[in-house]
Amino acid sequence: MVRVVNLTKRLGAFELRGVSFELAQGDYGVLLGPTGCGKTVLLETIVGINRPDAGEVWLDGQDVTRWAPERRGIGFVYQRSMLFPNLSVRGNIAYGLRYHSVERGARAGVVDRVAELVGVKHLLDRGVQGLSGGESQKVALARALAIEPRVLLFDEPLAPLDPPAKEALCAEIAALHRQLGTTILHVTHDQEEARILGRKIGVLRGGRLLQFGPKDEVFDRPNSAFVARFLGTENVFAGEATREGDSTLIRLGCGIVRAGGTGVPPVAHRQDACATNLIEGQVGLCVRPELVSIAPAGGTGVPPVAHRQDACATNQIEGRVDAISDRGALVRYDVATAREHFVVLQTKRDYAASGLAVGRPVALSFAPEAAHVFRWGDDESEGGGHDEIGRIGRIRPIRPIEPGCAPCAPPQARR
Amino acid sequence: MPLAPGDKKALGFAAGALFFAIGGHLWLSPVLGADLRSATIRTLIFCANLFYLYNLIYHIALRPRWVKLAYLGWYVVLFALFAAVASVDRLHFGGTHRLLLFALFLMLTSGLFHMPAAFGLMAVVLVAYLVFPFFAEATLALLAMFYLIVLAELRIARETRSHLVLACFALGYVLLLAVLFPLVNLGVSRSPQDLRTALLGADAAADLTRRAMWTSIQTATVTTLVVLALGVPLAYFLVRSDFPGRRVLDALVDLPIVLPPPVVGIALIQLVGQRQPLGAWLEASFGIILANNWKGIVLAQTFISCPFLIRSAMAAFQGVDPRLEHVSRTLGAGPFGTFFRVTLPLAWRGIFMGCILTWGRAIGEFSSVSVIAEHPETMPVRIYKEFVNSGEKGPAATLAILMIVLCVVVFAALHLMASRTVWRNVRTVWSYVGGPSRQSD
Repeated sequence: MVRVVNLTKRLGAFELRGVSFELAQGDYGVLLGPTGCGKTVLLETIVGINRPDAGEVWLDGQDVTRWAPERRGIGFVYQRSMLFPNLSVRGNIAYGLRYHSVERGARAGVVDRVAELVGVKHLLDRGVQGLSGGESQKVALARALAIEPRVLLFDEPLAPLDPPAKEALCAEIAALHRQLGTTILHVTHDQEEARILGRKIGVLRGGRLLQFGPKDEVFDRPNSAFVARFLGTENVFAGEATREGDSTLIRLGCGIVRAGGTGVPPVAHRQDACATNLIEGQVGLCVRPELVSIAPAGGTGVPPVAHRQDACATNQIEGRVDAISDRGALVRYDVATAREHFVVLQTKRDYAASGLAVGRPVALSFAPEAAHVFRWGDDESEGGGHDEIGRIGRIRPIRPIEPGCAPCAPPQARR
Repeated sequence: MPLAPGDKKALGFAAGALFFAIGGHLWLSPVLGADLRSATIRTLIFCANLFYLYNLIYHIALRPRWVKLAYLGWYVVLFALFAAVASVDRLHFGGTHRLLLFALFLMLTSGLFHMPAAFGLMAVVLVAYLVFPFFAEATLALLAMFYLIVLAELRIARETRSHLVLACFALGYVLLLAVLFPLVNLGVSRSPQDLRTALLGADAAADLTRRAMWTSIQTATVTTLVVLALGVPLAYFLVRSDFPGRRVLDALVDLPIVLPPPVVGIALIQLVGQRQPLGAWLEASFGIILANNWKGIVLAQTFISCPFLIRSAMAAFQGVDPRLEHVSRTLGAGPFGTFFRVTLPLAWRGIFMGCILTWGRAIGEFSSVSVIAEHPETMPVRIYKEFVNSGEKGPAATLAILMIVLCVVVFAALHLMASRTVWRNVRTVWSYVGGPSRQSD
């Protein structure tokens, strides 16, 4: 079990600001964040290399904040495997054993067992210089596992690998976690890794933990524009929300759309309005690109709500295809509407059937359940210039909604 | 068998050239003076000329035009070297010999024209012995080195299609020459017998030399050990710490390099001289006398030479990723265990290089040492005294060569010790010769 309480640390330009989270025994936590968000500083503080300015680190019910790193028994795997170049693979794996009261005679056995487990047994007598990226990461993993750590910390261990090696090691780590049940905390900037490995997901930005929770909750119900964008929901818009029965009407630049409704079950452990999408005022709206349907203009989207006759009842937005790009199994459309810019993902097969091309007018629509609404916080635009995503994500709130539902203006013709 | 037009042309060319050679030969003989009239020499030179022509027609004629021109030009150069330069009296070779040599070189080089490397070396030998006869050995060594490096670099330049590196080498070699030429020239100015007498002779002077040599080696080694024990921790501290005045301290490390050594000597003698409070106290309390004592020499050498080791060790420690140390800590090793098991093994090569530099600087230190301790004499002090007594023709040069030999031998030995390859080879040989084999345990 790892518990971090209000961890604060200033280190040069980096700053951790009151980071708190908890991982249960055997949990796999993934912290996501852009480069320079303080991921490594956080890990180094947990492991004991940095001393926090404030806050506590708890391991298995013990406050270890003031312990030296060698007492904590935390395994650490860096982004570059950081193998000791003066030792062989065997020497690297055996390095920590003498400090963990493993008898001299038993060490070789432990090394063999761990190497077998991780799949580096054939490398044991090699030097570490000639190892490939994946091999050296495995050796680093074996070295950390050999001391039977209470917690394993991974600092972007997959980042330097090429895609096949990454895929393989990812699967290997998942299998090891299933087999050993070690508590693992993994930081990365890659949402793929987080999806595959993580049970708990956290998103860090500028030294602050923006959101932390079970994987599905964080992916499907981001609590801020930054989290949404960072986890791949590119359609994030600011708007003004009003309640109407079970659903929320949100006025965007390109029209008024409906979110939530009776179909959205509230998240179990959350009590606030955000869990049911029933909030009012300045809000952010996000729709995952794969949940937006796209059709040539004139088609119908979601069936209209019975008592409403206008376009906004169908969550239909008109626009024009700006660009189409190939994303492997998917096709990505960039669609310009009156004020917003939508991203839509569609399978290749659907793309072939739709006959869409750049420049065609299209109608976008999405189910109200697909739209997630969150409160538009004060910090959305703060520090927006610090990182790539923040810069894209700067959105100007629009003027407040006038009473009643004005008919949606048709999309302006592009000049 | 009818001749092809090309063959006819070659035959015509050969006949013409032969005719020309004979004619030129007959014309030149009276011009060149008495020695050429000897029939043997004349025949020999004629044969050499014919051989040169033969090579031109049957081998060089097929090569590009510039090779042909160079081949003919080389004849003129050889002729000029021997006929013009070699006629001056002070040359090693004169009279009949130069003509014999001319014939010899003509034949040798005509064959060597196919092997630019060998040909170039031959040219270097000629230039060294004929153009710079007073410094022949030094010139030969340095020119040959220059030539061989240029050859190797030319091959690289052909690959990279850039002559920048080559041009830089040519310029940089001027500097290297300024360093190497005096040394090599000094080195070849005395015979090995002279060196032997100076070092191993039975007279008092040789005895003094032996003692000075021994004092130098001892003090320099002690100095290196002292600096090693104290400088390595300082270097590690400077690399891994980050306090506000760190940069000032960092700069202070270089102070001994900037200060003129006599200043250092004066400063030290002001402190530990026998009439100074500290020196007197040391003598009274511990019986330690620094002035005119090997301990004083070590003190001065330590002062002068410590920056070299500290700088090298700092560079070495900077090369050790702090994250390696972090990993070692997470694996359970304490700070000291980490230092000795990770940091030091990774940095020792750089530290060792620093030791070499420090040793070299310490053994060469003269002025600060001569201020604090004129006795016991170290080699530099002794060389200086000999020079003052009897000038440049005296034994000072011999002693200087001894010093050069000592330093070069020790440097080479230490560098070999620091080389990975050498150790690997030693291990390999050792395992063949019957050292403990890995399979048996």
